[in-house]
This record gives sequence, C-alpha cells and structure tokens, in this order.
Amino acid sequence: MTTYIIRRTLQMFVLLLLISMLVFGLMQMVPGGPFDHLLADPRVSAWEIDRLNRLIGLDRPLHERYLLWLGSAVRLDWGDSWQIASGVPVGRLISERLPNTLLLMGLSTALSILIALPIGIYSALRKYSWQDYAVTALSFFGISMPVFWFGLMLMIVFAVNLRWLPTSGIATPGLEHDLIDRVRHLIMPVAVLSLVNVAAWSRFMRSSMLEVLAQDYLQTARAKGLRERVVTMRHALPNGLIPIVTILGLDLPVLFSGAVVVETVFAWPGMGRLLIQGINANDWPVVQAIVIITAFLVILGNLIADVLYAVVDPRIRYS
Amino acid sequence: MQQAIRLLLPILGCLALLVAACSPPTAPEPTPMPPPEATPAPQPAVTPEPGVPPAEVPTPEPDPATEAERLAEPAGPVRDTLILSMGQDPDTLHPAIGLMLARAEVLFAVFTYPIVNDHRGEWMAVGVEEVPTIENGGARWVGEGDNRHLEVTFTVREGVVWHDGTPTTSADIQYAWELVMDPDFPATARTQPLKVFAIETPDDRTAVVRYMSASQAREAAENGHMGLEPEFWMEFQDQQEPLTDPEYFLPPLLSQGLWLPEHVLSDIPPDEHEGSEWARAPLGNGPYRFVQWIPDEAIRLQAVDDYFLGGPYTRNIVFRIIPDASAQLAALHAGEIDVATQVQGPNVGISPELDRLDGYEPHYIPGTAWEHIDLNLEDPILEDQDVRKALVMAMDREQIVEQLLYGNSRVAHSWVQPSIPALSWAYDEDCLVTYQHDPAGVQRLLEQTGYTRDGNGLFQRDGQPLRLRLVTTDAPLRQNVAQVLQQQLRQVGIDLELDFLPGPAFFGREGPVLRGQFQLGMYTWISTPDPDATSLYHSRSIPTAENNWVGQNFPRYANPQVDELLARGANELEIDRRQPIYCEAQQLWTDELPVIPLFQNPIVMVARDTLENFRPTPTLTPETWNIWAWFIED
Repeated sequence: MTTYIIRRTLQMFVLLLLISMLVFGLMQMVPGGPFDHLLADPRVSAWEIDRLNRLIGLDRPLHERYLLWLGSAVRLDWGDSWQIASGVPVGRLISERLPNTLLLMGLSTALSILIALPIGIYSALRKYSWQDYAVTALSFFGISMPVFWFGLMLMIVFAVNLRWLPTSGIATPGLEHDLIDRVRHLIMPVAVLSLVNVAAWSRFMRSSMLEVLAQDYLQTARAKGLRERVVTMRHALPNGLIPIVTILGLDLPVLFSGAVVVETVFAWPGMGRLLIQGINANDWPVVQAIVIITAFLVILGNLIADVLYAVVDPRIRYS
Repeated sequence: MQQAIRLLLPILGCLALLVAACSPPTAPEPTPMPPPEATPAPQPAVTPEPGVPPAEVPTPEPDPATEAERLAEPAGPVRDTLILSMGQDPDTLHPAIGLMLARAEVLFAVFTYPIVNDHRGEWMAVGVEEVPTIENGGARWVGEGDNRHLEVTFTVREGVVWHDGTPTTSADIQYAWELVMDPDFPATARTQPLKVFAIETPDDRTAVVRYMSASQAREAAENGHMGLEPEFWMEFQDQQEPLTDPEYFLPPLLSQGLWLPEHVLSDIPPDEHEGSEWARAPLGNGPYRFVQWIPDEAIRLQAVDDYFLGGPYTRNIVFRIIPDASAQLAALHAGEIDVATQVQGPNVGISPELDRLDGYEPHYIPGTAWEHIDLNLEDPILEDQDVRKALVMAMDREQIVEQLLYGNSRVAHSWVQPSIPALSWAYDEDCLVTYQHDPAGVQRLLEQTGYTRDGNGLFQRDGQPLRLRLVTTDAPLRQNVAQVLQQQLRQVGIDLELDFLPGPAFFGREGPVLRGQFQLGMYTWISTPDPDATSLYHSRSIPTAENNWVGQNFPRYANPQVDELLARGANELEIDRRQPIYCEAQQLWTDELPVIPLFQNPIVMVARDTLENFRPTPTLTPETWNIWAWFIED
C-alpha cells in the first residue's frame, strides 16, 4: 500500500508539470495580451502597451517565462494579478475568495449527501414502486435542469415576488456578521447547487444499494432471523456506501474551484467567478494558479478516493 | 458493476467539470477588464503636427453658472444609506493606474475632481476655482518663437481637504503629474502629461502647468524628459509649434485630471503603488470617505462632515457588485438597490423590463458614444463610393433603433452627435448628407457601377457575387444589430457575412480593424464634447506596418481637404471660426462615407424615482459626479 501511494504521488507531480505546460501554452494561443484592450483609447499609444508588457515580462521567450513561473510556483508564489486587481498577489485574491466558495460548496455537498443518501436507499428498497418512479422522475428533472435558469427562477419566486429572501450577494451591506442574514443569503445558492448533486447522487446510491441487496450474504442474514431493518442498515448499507467514497473524492476539487454559474447569478464572490474573470481579462497568473491548484486537487482527490476504497473494502488490494 | 462505476465516475466527473467550466454564464458580456463593451473608451485626441498654422488652443465652453440649476435640498429626515450596483469589481482604486469605467463611479465619490463634465456636457470647476481658458486669462501664451509655450494656472479652492484633515494644495497637482511621468510607474496613458514640461507651485493654492515649447519638444524627442525614454516624444522630432492639448484646461493626468495626496503617497516608491494598500483603500478629498472594500462583493463609503459644497445628505453609500444582468434586474424588482448603473452596458434591449419597474425611473441618456460601421477604403469593393452609398441605403437604421433599442435613441449621421448642449454648435443638419432606407436607390447605384442581379436576386459583377464581411464583437446587442443588418441587406440583394470576436481580440494589437484586415467593422466610439476628429479621420492617423500600427483611422480615410479642415478646426480658438470648418468637413465626410454611422449609444441607468438630484451625464463623467447632493426623503 505504501509503495502504491508513493508511486501515485510521483505520478501526480509529473502530471502537474505536464498540465502546467499545457495551460501555459494554451494561454499563449489566446489572442491579445492583458493590456491590449487599452488600445481602444487613442490616448494610449502602442509604445506604452509594449512598455507595460515588458514590465510584466511578456517580451521574454516562452520557455523562459514558463521557467520563471515554475520557479516561483514551487514556492507557492503565484505572482501578481495583471488585470483583475492590478498588482495584488494572486495568493491574496484566492484567499479572499476561497472561504466564500468553501462555505457554499461545503454546505451544498453536505446537504446533498444528507438528502441524496436516504432518498437513494429508500428508492432502492421500494424498487419499482410508485415512490421509486417519483424519485426517478425528480432526479431526471434535477439533472436536466439548467442551473442558471433554476437559480433565476428561485430568485424571482422567493426574492422578487415573495420577498422572503435576498436576491444575491453573501450578506446585506453592514450585516456581514449577522448569522441570520448570512443564512438567508445562503439558502438559494445552496439549494440550486444541491439540486443537481442530489439528483445524481441519489441515483448512484440507488444503483449501488440495488447491487448490494441482490447479494447472497443478505439471504444468510435473513435466514439467521434478523429483522429486515437490521439487514438493510447494518449489513447492506455499509457496502452500498462504498461508491460514495469515490464520488466524494471526485468532489474535492469542486470545493475549491466553485461553481461559476451559481456564483455569477447570485453575485457570490467566489473562486469560480475569479477564474472566469481571469480568462476574460487575459490575466494569466490568476488562471494558471487556479488551474494548477484545481488539477492538484483532482489528482489528490482521486488518490484519496482510491486509498479509502482499499481501506473500506478489504477485498481490494493494490500492488 | 462496481468496476464500471469506478471507470465511469471519474470520466463523468471530468466531463461535468468541463461543462461547468465551459458554459458561460449569461452574464453581461465578458467585459475586457476595463471599458465595458459599450464604451471602448476612445477619445479623439489632437496630435499637433508640424506645418500647421499657429497652434491656438481650442477653448471649451465657458463655465456655466453652477447655480443656474439649483439642486434640491432635503426638507426633513432622509434615508441614511444609498445602494448602487456595479457590474464588476474595480481592478484598483488608485486613480492613476489602469483605465476603468467601473472605477470612475467610486472615484468621483471619494475624490473631489478639479473640473468635471456635468449633465449638460459642460465643463464645470469644482475643486479649482475656475476652468482656466484663454478668455479668462487662466491660460496664456508666454515667450516668442521657438520658446513660445502655453501656461495654464490652476487655483485650488479653499475648503478642499483630504480626509485626514490635510488641505489639498497645488503640491498635490504637481505630485500627481510627476508620479505619472516617473518611468517606474505603470501609467497607461501619458499622452497629455508628456506634453507638459514642468509644473510650478508658486504658493499652496496655485499650480502653473507649463506645456512644452517647440524647442523643448524637439529636445525631449532627442533625449527624453523626466527620465522617460525619448521614444515617447517620437512624433515631435521636427516640431515647429508649441505643444498643446484639446484638454489643456484639465490638470494633466488621466481620468479627467485628478490630484493625489502628496503627503501620503510620496513615501511610496512609484513602482510599489500598484500593489500598495493605498490603492485598495485610498485617501480621498471628496464627499465620501473610503470605509471598506469586500472584494468582488461591495465597497462602502461614509459621508464626511461638512463637505465644502454642502451635504453630503446621505450618510452611507454602498456599491454592490452584481455581475449578472438578470440578477441586477431582480434586485431592482425586489427593491434592494437604489441606483443601477451600467445597466447591461448599452443593451437597451431590456428597456421594456426597465419601463415596467415600480418605483424606479429608467434614464436613457443619448451620449457622445455612437455605434458605427467602419468601411475599409482599401478594399477593392468598398473603394467605390457608389457601393458605400448603396450599403447605407440598403440599411434601415430607423428600424434598428425602433426594434432593438425600443426607440430610446436616434439614428446617427455624423461623428458629432446632436443632443449634447455643449456640442450643439457643431451639429447642423444642413451640413450633412443624410441617407434614407431606399432599396430603389440601391438598385440604381449598384447598376450604375456595373452590378446586376443574378437568378437568386443577389447582386453580382463579372460573375462575382456582392459579398461582404462584417466583423464586430460578441456583445449581445451587437450580435442582434449585425443579424438585423444581414437580413436587411439580403432583402436588397447584398450578401453579408458576420464575424463575432471577443472584445480583446477585436480591439487588440492583432485586431482586424487596427491591421486593416476587414471590410466592415462595427463598434462604438466615445468622445469628449468636442468635434475634433483628427485622430479618427486625418490621414496621419492611419495605422500601418511602417508606423508600428499606431493610429485610429481604421477606415484608412485620406482626403487632403478634410485633413486640412480637421487640422485647422483643432487649432482654432473661437466657436464662430470653428463652426464653418466643421460644417464643411462633415459635408465632405458624409458625402464620401468612409463610415456608416448607425445610432447614438444611450447610456442606460435606473434610479429610484424618489432619488433627488440624480443627474447622469452624456459623457464619460459618471453619474456620481454630484453624489454629495443625492438623497431620498424618508
């Protein structure tokens, strides 16, 4: 197991290196630099733009810039933002927005688990009953529903028409420390995010449970005289939960990178919005930092999921 | 089965992430960090050229009596907080770095500007005692021959005080200019500042700006000035006339000329301003002091006691950042914000929605910004004047204004727009050749130049169909306008293909209009309220490979007569001398049609109908220019 982890970790670094080169190269192909839009103003001469580009090192050859970036990145110095927040270190931009995203994504993940698992189990136990079909239909609805539209619909119903909730933002200006206010602002974005997850994860749970329920050892348990409830909860469920481990592992990077659409619709100052702003503004240091960190978390999440998988299922052994 | 899940889940997960990352939010189109789509802020600037007769300086309209339109005053208690919404977070609050319209709104609340452009488009002295002009002696010519130069005197008004109690002095004007001229400072537009030789401060309230004489300009082109490289003065190598600027009456700093607190900032090295704490929490001298900036979420300001102009009546100002247009609309419906600025840029497409809002009033201000189509005169098809005229007649611009702008604008006919009082002297319908939607006329003109209709009704000549390509940005309104134009042209028999590019790609250094790799290019120009168009339509302003692609004359228009008129107009002093010049220039221009003007871009804002003294301007000055007087009665 230890060799396995070590091997995977080494692979991770190689992969990250390759990804960073790929992203760096891709950003090169995007037309325009971070200051080109300034040319729309006749008071800015092309000479000034060249000068500004030189100040941030854009005149150097590609590989040199990459190596410079790599050199600081390994020390976790992601450089300064070129455009979104002139001169502000990228690390600071991220740390300003990360808590907001963690709050949003963490809550919605937790909520999704709490709702999806029971629904999935219930659905599996009542296979092909009308309850099952109802849940299935709702799941399809949830998976197909465009997040953007659903968010706006909630906003219109609850914020505009009923005025029960605020439309957007993380807090009412001046009330940042008021718990009730923060919760009210969280309700809609979390609901929107959870919907998709609940729909998908309840399906996973359902199929996983169905698979386990068909196993022979449960027959043995019933033959021993255990009540159905105990059979389900103590014998079937633990094994049915194993795939959920994989799901959660894959979900790890999303906790960091956030959800662009929800964050934009609900004016949530998070990581998703930061990434989109970076891309639109050709603010490469920001984009690169976020992509690399996200890639790292994807790989890490997969690794953790695989390891946990082996931990919970003794039949699995890596070599 | 479990194996299948194990393989499938990561793939699905990645796909989901990809989709989530790739699907764009239907947001206000991605604004290239600064100028929101509607307003790629180009302002025609005069480049003084050698060989032009005595460089007299264009005078702005004299100061209006600022008391002429009295501001309302509160009769009783007022609401203590006003909430404004913005479409994006400012990149910095340092006035001298970058160029960003979203920032201007906040800056005008935190700083007192020396001179602003009010709701009539007139220049008004606020932080200084008067707008210095040739007429009132504030600006004067000094010296003879090669040493002749312009001196502009600014007198700081009493009572303008930085928020830490230090009075604003002339040293602040001097410092701001010296900072921008510092080679280590990341300034983005030194065009006006570099024409200044020095700023002197004979006393605390007086600043004298000395523009360069001809000999000083040549000297700078040779050896540089203030540590900046000589390349900045490249075009003045053979300068024979003293340097001037159309906005000579503003302190020479971008953003309409603003001062900076010398006593605080001089301790920060110029190259450290950008990432400094001050840039994120500026010390101002305006009606509101900076309190807090929650990144990407809100900026909070609080009123100072005793602003020298009166008020401020409202205690707190909050700028909320709402990037999504639909969310902004929802916030208006829910009554959460008091003023919505930059309502989806120029997209008046949501006008019916805005008109339906209860308790709010939409403001459609016909601004100096005008949407237009540049025609590349170097293109073999478009170099024919008849074809250009046929194009404009094939378009039904009235229909576009009615259908896409809901009538909240008007068709433009020239680079000068009619509805700005300060510009009205330069606009006369008699001086313009105007075109109507006239399909019969199209037929006539095209047949005249040898086009005939083919079996499908499309025009063709020598077997080649009349097919043109229009390039523009992917802003929603532009896409709609382009598609309507395509339809209109097709009905008449002209095939128009469309190309949509993201903002930065369109306006960038490799962009199609700059490089001349286009046939029709559609976008917006904004101008200050002055008809000067030398940087747009003078032949010297054509960007070419030889001059390293410098210049805004994208249609590549070169008419010697117009050249001479524009140069003269930029240097004349009095309105009655300039008027006939611009009349003739516009006549020639509208006849030759290097550009098809489409419509005026209305600035769209929504404010509560109970908000007093809300006076948005038709220019780049934001609506917060008089924010000290805003209030809503309780």
